[in-house]
Amino acid sequence: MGADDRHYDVTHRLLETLREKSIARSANDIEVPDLSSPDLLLTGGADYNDMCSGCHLRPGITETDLSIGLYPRPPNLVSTQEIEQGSAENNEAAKRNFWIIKHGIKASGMPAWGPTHGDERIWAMVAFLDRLPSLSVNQYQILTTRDGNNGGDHH
Amino acid sequence: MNTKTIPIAALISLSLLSFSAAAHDPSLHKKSDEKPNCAAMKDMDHTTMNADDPVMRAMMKRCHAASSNQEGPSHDEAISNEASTKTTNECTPEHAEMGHCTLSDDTANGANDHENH
Repeated sequence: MGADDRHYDVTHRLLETLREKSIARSANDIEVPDLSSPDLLLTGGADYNDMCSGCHLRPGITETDLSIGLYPRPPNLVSTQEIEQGSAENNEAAKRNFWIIKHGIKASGMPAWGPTHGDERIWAMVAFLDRLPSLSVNQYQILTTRDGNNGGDHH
Repeated sequence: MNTKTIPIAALISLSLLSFSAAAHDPSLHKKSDEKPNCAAMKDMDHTTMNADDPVMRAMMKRCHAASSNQEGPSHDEAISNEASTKTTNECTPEHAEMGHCTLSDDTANGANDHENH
């Protein structure tokens, strides 16, 4: 039961496979908008820093209490080796990231941000995630600093 | 996963969800006054930078906004101070005659010279 009591390898692989198949099927029909606007990086970067970096890390930070203590371990989204890459033609990675951010993943510690964040703001985080592995510490710091105007949709 | 795992996992998810609900408004995120470290852009390798790259454009936008925010009040203050300095320090013979200020010796001599010519 404890989060420090790991699954057997076979159980872990089975759960991962089930999760990925389920997400891929659910995210299949999502239409990916244009994510090339720099404004998306500013909005998404600030939100990522506030809401995600504690578990999924940021440039220059390789572990936190949460990234160590959670099980299953949250993927390090700064590391290209740990990011699930889909085919670029179908924007599979963008669809997958959008679906996960919006709906969360049961029993993993990953919350559903959809109930409190609009799609536009979630797409901004998806856009930021796409560039995150290539960012330096300084670039990350500049992009993720809020100036009060990059809040996205207000409620 | 046994039946005990589900309620515990649900509880964890709910607690995280409630945290997110409290933080969804961007204004609630603004807890620190951290400023973008735009000086670091000078040390970046400019040969590898592409001005059309969204990351580069976003950084320039952020730093431009930050410098505008910083320079805005100080720029206005500078103009105000300049105007104030001119008002208090630039004493023309006309103002001296009106008793608004006192001409310095140099200015007074210059004024006299001007009158003598």
